[in-house]
Amino acid sequence: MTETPTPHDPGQARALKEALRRIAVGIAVFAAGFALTRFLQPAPAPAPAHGAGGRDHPGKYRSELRVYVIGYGLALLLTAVPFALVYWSALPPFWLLIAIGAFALVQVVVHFRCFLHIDPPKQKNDDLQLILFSSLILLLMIGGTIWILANLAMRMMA
Amino acid sequence: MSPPAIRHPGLLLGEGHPDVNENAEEMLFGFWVFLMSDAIVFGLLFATYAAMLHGTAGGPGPKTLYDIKSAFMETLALLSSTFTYGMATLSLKYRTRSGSLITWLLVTLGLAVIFLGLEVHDFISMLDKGGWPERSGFLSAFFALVPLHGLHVTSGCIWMIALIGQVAVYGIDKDVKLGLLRLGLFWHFLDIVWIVIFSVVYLGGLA
Repeated sequence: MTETPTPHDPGQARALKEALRRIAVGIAVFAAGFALTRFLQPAPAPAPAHGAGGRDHPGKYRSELRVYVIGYGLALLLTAVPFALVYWSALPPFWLLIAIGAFALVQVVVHFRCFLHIDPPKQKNDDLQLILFSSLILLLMIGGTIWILANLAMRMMA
Repeated sequence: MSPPAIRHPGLLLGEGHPDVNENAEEMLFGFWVFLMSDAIVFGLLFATYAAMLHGTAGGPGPKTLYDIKSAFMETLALLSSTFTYGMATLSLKYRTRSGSLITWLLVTLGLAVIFLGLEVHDFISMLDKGGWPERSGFLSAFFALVPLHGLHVTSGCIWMIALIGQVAVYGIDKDVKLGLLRLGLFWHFLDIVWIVIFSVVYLGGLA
């Protein structure tokens, strides 16, 4: 508590509140993206008889093709919308940044689900743990770097 | 009782490809470890870029240097190439038509070459406007991050050409299949990195 040199600085408090708000929006969008991709998942196909070849399942082929087509369509949409928002400056800068971040997060989830076929309940434990651990490391390193350097920049400017 | 079904990141080739199933799990897991470490390299370069964003040192900034339309077209080319690579994997799995695997791979390669051409064109126009890497901290961070992705795409193209050559010489055997699956992970991963570059660097820089 004593480490904060300017506890009454309204600018710093506002910046902190803004940062928290951005993080909350990011998490909400991430959760929404996961929910969306769960919703889009095709109905589970009945387990194929043992020994049957993959090429003998035209229904399975079509459902897997559908995943790629849906992924491609969503990716195009999720790229075109933020591009249009920026191109025509349709929002004030703060909300523009929020929108860009939100669309990017949803699109990353769509890519993981539709192209890399990462599907949490069905995935092997090792794969999931590796993804979660790498995400944690990324979050710590990126968040820590930006936090420390932004704080430093603020103090140097003051 | 049947052995447990194999699971790994990327499209599962399934029971029609018993030759692959012996090694697919550990080989794709190992490649996935590499991709995650690569993600951390990119993540740190993103953090560097974000920290350097305002360090233009009086030089040109994002608004004078970036061409949003060109970046958008690059995104479309790369997104389409990830879709066509997916089609290549599907035709590998279901053997839809002979030759269609190669056709999809060639389409993917063509789209990647278009992407790289547009990107090099962008870099040259940035250099023309005085945006040299040594001009400012911002430009150093940009040229550390974005061309690194371009280098990854270039190496992916070389890998794809090598695999097309292997299909021509050896046919679609086990090693070619495993190579195609790993290149698929690499290719889709690079697409995700580009989405973040497009959003953070280009859209974020111009918002």
